[in-house]
Amino acid sequence: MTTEQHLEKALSFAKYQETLNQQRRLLKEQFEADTLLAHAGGLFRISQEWLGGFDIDNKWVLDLNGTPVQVEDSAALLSAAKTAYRTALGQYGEQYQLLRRQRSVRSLVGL
Amino acid sequence: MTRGFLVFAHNNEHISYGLLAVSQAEQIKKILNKPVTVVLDQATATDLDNLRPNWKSCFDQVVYLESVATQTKRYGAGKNQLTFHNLDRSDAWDITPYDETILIDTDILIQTENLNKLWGTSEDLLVCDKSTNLYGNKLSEFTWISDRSIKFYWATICYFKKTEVTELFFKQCKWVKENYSWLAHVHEIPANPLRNDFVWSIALHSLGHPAATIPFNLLYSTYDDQLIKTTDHYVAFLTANGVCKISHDVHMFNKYDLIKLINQELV
Repeated sequence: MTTEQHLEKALSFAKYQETLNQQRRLLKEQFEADTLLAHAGGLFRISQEWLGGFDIDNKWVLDLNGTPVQVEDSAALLSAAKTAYRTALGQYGEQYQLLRRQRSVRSLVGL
Repeated sequence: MTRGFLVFAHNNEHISYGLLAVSQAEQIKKILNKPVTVVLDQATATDLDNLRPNWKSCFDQVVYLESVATQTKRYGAGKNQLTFHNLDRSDAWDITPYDETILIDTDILIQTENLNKLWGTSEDLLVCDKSTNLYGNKLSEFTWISDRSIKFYWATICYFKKTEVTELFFKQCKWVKENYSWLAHVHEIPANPLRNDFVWSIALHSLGHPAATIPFNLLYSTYDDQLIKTTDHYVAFLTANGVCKISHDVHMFNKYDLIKLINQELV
């Protein structure tokens, strides 16, 4: 392979990689939006840490803006949070796998 | 508790904001299933009568408000200076027929249900401070209103309840608008044209930030990004960095492409 051919291949790969990273970032952003849960007037971003740290015996929960929200039914909030997180992560995982299988810039952006 | 969207639409020489509002209202009804109230002037309504005779059916309510003053701005490098009617936005509190309102610009392409998560929040006012271009870059001009000044907030999307706090906020916006030349000097921003983002930012700053923020990132496409493909699930842009597929809500600076997109849908 000549230097010119090598550079052309490298440039083509860089474009592919840049587009892949861009689409990955957008997928992650959508996942983060999908993990937002509105409950009892509060907005919560559900994560593994949030689920792990949730205290079902505490009727006060801090929301995204740091506002304490009084939750009458903690079990219902936890259940809704688990469902939202599971759904969001499932969609994220499937779309991520689909993205990884694309081998060209054209297929990455659906053209 | 009534909930709905409020949009302002005043046409200029090249851009039919009325048509943008109609298209956006259709998207809102389809994706978010919420009513939309439009605020427009008679000339915009007459234009819509010609372009879309049944346009009123897209809206829950139509409010006529003549634009009292105009200013001009350039819609991208190399484009003409066009008139720009944006001075009635601070009247949103008085105009909205809803208890909970999402005030939104007509140039936001709605593709997700994200905004529906804001309804029912315990906050009176939610404003937007997170934004990036299509490549995830956050620009300083959308972080601070000037290099040595205060935090930047977008007026592009805003959620509010009709309460005393939000009434005060919108009255403060009117005060900022009336004293804009002086405040522009204080905050080292251009005095012309008046920019609602700056009005919002200065009003929030002067009231001690009585708002929480919308937890989503507002993606925007620049004047140079060209819309090249649309489907039910995504839009694709040709940008300086390549092609980009977006399935998020997007704030489109390039209104010309948005109008083209709408007209293609109408054909």
